Amino acid sequence: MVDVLADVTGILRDLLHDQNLQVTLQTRFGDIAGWDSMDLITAVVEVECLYDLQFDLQDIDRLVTVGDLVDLVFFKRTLTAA
Amino acid sequence: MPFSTLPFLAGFLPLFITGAALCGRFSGQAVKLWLLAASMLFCWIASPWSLAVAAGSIAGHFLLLRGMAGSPCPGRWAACGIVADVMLLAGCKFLTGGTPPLGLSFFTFTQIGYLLFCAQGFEIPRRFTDYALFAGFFPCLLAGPVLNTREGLPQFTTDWAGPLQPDNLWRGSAFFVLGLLKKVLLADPLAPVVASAFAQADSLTLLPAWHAAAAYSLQLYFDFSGYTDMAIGLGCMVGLTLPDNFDQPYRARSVIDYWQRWHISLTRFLMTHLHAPLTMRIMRWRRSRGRCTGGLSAFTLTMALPVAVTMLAVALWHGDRWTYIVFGLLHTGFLLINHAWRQARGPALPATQSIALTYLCVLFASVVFRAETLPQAGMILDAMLGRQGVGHLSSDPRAWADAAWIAALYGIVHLAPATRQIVAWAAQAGGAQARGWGITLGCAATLGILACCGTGEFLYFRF
Repeated sequence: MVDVLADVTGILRDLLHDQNLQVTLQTRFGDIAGWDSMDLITAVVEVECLYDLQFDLQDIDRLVTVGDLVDLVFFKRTLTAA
Repeated sequence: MPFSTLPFLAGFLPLFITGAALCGRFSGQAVKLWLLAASMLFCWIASPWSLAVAAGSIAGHFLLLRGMAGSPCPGRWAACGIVADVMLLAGCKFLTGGTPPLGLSFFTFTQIGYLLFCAQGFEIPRRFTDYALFAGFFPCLLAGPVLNTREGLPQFTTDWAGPLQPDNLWRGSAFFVLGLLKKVLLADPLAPVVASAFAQADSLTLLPAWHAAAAYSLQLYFDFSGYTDMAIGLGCMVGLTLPDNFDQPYRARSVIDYWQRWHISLTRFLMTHLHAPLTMRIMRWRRSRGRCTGGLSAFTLTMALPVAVTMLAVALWHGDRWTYIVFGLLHTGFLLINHAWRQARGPALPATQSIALTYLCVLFASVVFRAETLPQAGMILDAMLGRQGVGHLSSDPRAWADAAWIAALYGIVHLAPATRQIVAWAAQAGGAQARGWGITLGCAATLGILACCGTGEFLYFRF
């Protein structure tokens, strides 16, 4: 969980050009300074590439917090492993 | 039947609530059946053709969804449904030339969203009543909000308790009354001002042109957000939570921010079902070929193309006039400049400047949106830039009163709390404060009903 959160944080930092950005599992994407919905799409594709996963429309629609994205990565990895 | 007309307020609304309350004495399922019947009656009052199209579309989608349930290829079923929906929309909106059936865009988009979710494994409803009420609930038919399947559907498919709750009735009434006031006291009086100015576009000078543009942007906002408050209120009265459609859009600090606050349910629908899938496909395709994520080609393909397609959809949603297409192009340009500025890490403007600049963009585009032809839009924009003469300050006190009224409306737009906040304050009040809120809302309702005599249609009906 910690590793995935660190990876997601890194992706968000690169995306928003802010290497000091701090997020937690409870951070809402909409509350991140300068965030817009396009950033979510870019972040999701970056996460997909990093973990070799593919998310569905339904998955993306329910992403509200950073924790939702981290949970989704775990869920998809578990499915792939099974 | 607009919500701010006497037949609705004195006839349909009491019938709707009384029927729901009586059915609630039997069961929650009886309430659902009553709401469905009321929704179909609402369509039939608009025209028998509206009822036939709504009922046919809802029944057809339900059968399609049942077919998807046991199919190994649900995506193909969904694709067939969406093609049929787009053909129906295009046929009714663009080819027949007449007024489209009531709520066509809204119930069709809601159902397209459902098809797309179900194609990816979302649960298919078992009861026709639940599905039909979700797709055709009458408060959402005139101007939305477009219901999101994942968030909106569960409250229609769960078993309802039955009796209407006094707290819901109170909150719903407060929403409805505040929406009615926005519509009849703030938006409607601006209609003749706007109509008269746009009709004389060729003779407008600088100040009257700005006055007309400002009046239209305020009329559109209060009209549409007032309608949304009324729709939310009607849902709340029977225990349903409809999503917010506005979040103080004229306080947006960028055009990107503006689209996240204006007609939120439609923006979200298009983002979820058009913009995001298209962008992701392009991004995945580029990544699979090892293309870089920056540069002009990346910006063109992953940003400009999806934004242009999405704004074209927004334009076509409103109709087939060239003014809507240009409106879409203008907003495409604003959004791309905004995105490019962010990517280039341009400095952020102070709040007042960014709000003013955003509103200016929205205002110019709204002139094109309101105009009936491109030449008319061009004349008003020319006048706003002073190309049709500066004119002179009027000595007519009515002109000054009009200007003061516009200033007051801007004050409301920028300083007043959101309707949901006011309703929350009223609901939390106790004792003497609660009585005060009750009396205030009662007076407001009376004022709204008195003012609504002779009111026009909602601007958003035609879409």
